Amino acid sequence: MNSLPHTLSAPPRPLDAGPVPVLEVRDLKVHFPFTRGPFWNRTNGFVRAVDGVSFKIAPGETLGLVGESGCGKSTTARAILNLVPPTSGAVYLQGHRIDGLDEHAMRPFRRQAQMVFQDPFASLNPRMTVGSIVAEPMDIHKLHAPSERKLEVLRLMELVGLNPRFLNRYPHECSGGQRQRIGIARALAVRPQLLLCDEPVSALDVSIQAQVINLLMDLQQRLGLSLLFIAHDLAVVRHIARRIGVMYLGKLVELGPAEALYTDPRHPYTRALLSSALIPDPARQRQRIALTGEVPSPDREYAGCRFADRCPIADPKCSITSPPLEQAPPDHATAGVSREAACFYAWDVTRWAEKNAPPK
Amino acid sequence: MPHKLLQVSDLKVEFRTDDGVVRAVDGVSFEIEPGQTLGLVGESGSGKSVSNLALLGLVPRPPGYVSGRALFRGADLLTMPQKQITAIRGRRIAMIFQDPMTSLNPFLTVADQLTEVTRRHLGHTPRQALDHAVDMLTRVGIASPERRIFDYPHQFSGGMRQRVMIAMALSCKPDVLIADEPTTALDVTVQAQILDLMRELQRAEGTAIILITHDMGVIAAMCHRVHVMYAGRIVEEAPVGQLFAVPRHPYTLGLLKSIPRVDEPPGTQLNPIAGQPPDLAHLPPGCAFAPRCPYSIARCTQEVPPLFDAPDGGRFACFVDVRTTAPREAVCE
Repeated sequence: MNSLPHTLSAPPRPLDAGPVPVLEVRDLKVHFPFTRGPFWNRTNGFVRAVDGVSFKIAPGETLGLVGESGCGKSTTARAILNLVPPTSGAVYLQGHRIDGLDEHAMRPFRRQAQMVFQDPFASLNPRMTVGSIVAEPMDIHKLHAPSERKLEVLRLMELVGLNPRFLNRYPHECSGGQRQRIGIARALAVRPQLLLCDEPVSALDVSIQAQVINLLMDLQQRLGLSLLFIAHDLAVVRHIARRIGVMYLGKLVELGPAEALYTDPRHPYTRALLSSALIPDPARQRQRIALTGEVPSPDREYAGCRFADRCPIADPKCSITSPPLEQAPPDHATAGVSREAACFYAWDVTRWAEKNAPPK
Repeated sequence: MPHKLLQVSDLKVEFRTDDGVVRAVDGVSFEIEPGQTLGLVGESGSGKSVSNLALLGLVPRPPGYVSGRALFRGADLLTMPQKQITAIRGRRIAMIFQDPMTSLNPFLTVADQLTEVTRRHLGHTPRQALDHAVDMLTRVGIASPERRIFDYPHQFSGGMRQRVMIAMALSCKPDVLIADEPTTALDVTVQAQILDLMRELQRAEGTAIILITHDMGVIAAMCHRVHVMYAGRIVEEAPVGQLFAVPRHPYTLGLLKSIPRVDEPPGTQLNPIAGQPPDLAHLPPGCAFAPRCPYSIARCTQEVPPLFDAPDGGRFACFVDVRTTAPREAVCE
């Protein structure tokens, strides 16, 4: 990997920074221009789908990304792999900068990071057999001699729990859970270090969801994969990810260890979001922090905090200056693990009580 | 004796297809009283939606064939003449569909669609109907309804469209509201708003709600009584607290064990139900769940278990007592 010609230089790193992160995203922005009115060729504004997102994923780690529809979580994943071109910012895959590379230069990096898509009905070519779907990435990357290819396909199918009988079947002959297994086998065919999973279980029935979640967790342990796991289901993300980022309108509003974030959320949006998640147990219903309205459209330009309009603890300052994603002060930091939140009052415990916000 | 509000017994829906007869609903019975919320939970293809479409005469025939009885205040919905059921549908029994994007007509304004219901069923004049529609939009929490009502569905967000659907369903003050996955397409914070709204309207009007969902969280938050469906049959029914505390059917138990919960420590191993949902055209001879069931015995593959009465008021369709039997190790295909 040292002699890749088109890569830009690696980011400067302090010597004691630990292992190189598998993925590092710095201030990623994806803005889509839109036109409105009679002049089609004139750009009237931008949808700021992703607006300054930064995070790292360590080897073998799972980062969960949650948020409601339109918050930019899927666009973030797509921009990382250059499936939509990032507007600005930097993406480093194992220390190599990959944003802005052309298709040819990008190809070796596609071996290292693969994507698992949400809809197993739309993301598999209906005219290809299961065997050829799983083999296609190997062919593209010229990984195996034709004689070994079939063995490798069967090995992958076994790895994801697909019966070898499926080798010559077509996607329409498989159920949703089986199709998602095919999608995972296809992603693993090039032996990547990083899997970007975009809502991999939300199209599946509940009893099948658990099978696929267990499969992903098992594969991660056996293969030492890093995962970026995107979902809107808070319980699913908490289950699979050790560290979780919460997105709202194109920005990360909170990032921290799963346990701390779920038991003691600090950003007002995280609090409201978590309190809205339903607990499947009638004996354990709880108080909800009601939010009015819905996630607004991301085509507006915000000077201050994007959540300020709906926030129960906002004050005038919040609409003027945008709070950066900041480290927790030492007395709030969870032992040894970093926690960040983008709110002026994230660590101000008394403010919640003062504003009569319902207790968590 | 006064008639029950809605009493469904031995409802069957068959589809005659090229692949053979698909029995989508196979002997479903339930009843509901005013002010109650009944949950129907099950996976895709379990027959939960079709059984309710059948009640309203919305299953196309052919290929669908409906039998059984569905007494609404003593009158059988399944045998009454077309004219009579049209008078009940939308007026006495209303339905909210899952997908607010496709169940509104994109060519008509919200005003057109909302006023149609009351003009048709309540004989409102256009003026009355419009006032009533604006009033309904206010009640479901749409801001500046007198202006928004002339918008088209695409100008509303998903949550707002679902509110419009609810306003439409409730505008004739129905006795029964059938809500088919009303929040599945929505985000969690919006889902919470919509569920609150339904609860509030139920309290005010005493509407009976049949809530169809696959989400155990929604069931736990909303329902009084729950029916669990699998492959067209009810496999367990119980009051909500009991269903979650003491599930008696292996499928219910499996469902509850396979969902991750926000209030549990992360990293807990999930126990998925092995295997795949059944193919309704080729069901096994005995219990449809037997091939995936860790408790199944020989009898399960020969005979369909009837609904047994549980000592504490529920019913379940299983030969095995899951509380005293140890499950076999799951064998995943």
